[in-house]
Amino acid sequence: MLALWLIAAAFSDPQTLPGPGRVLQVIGREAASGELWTHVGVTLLRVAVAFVIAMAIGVAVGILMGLSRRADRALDLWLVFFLNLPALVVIILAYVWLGLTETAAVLAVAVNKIPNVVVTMREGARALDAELDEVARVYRVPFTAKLRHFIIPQLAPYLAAATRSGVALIWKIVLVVELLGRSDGVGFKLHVHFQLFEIDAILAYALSFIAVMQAFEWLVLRPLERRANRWRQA
Amino acid sequence: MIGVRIRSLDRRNAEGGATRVLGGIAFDMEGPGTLAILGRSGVGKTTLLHAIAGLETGFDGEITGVSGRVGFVFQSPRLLPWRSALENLRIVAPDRPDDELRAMLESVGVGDASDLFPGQLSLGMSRRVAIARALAVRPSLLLLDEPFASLDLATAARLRGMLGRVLSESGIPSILVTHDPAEALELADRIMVLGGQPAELRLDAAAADLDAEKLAASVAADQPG
Repeated sequence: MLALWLIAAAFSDPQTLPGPGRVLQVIGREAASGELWTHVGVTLLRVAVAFVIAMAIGVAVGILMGLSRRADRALDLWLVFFLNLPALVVIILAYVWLGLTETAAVLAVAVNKIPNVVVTMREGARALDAELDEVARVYRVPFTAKLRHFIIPQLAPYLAAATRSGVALIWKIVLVVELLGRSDGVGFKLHVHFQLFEIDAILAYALSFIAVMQAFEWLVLRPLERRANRWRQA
Repeated sequence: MIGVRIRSLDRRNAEGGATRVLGGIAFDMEGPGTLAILGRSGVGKTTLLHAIAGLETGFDGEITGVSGRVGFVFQSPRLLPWRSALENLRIVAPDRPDDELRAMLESVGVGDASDLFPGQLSLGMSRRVAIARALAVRPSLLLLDEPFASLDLATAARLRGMLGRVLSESGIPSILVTHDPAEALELADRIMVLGGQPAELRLDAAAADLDAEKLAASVAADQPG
């Protein structure tokens, strides 16, 4: 990918497509001034808060819909509605109704993500093993223990899927939210540099954030998954 | 005394109607000892066992006298594959110290498997762990659903010997569901035969008064309609 970038950059105007060296230089400059850390940090915080809200609500509603046919029927219409509601509409309405505030920004992102989590977790809850449920019932396993030893291990692959696709989707939407109504964060910086047509800075911020997300994948998600899947390898 | 009174138990069938699985079944169990329930496959033995365990509800009738906890050995071991053998016991009996649970695994012959995952165990060993799990809850009633199904003859025989020893040592009242008359005669003090559709009690006698031929004939007399 790096080679492709080098070749493409060599043949194009450095204004439109700066080479990796130039972008690295900008990253260094922004990091030294502290700008990079501030904006990446702010964006990361928004991603984290929106992610926690979306997962908490999405997992709870998804499991409820997967286990209870009545809940599924009652909520399905809402699910389809939110699933097909364009992200941009949610963001605009959130800003109009709640003002250009932090709450509106994070909420808009969470609302965009919740339906996806619900869909994934509903499938997971539907696939829960009825035979193991009978074991829990006959041995009167208390609810918290049942959750920990019976339900969560079965839902782990679905949680991992929701987390991975969730983080990726959320950070993209956070950028749009920042672009439209925040005065800090990576999305705001992209907006500023776009207006000045500084492609090198745009690439610098985008790549820095991708690096942060990659680190999250390698340092948090992978080890967690390895732990959850120990019994499969044994 | 444990009392089982089932007037009728219906199951919804694929066409949306109801099929009567169990008809009038009534019996009492007094004190320790093993009761074997025999019958051809599909007659409703497992359903009856589930009803006694409280897993099957919504039937017309009542189960009385089951106080305390029930130990259930399912037809497949049904261990949690993501927990070790010892953890599988600990989850149902969190009040018991680990060394007691290890001793429990030891007594059914899988003491060295306590830290292995169920996926690393053979079916015979998994069954032993499932039996240890049922005993770990200090049950007042032990229910066993074809605990030797799909095992080779030698393994089944060893497991039967182990179970017979455990049952007589513990003195826990138990109900064993099986399709094999020899198994019933080896392990039980009292034998019942289920037959017909809906299933009813066809025979209820002390094991000492029965022999393999008589039992086999009684089971064979009940052919699915």
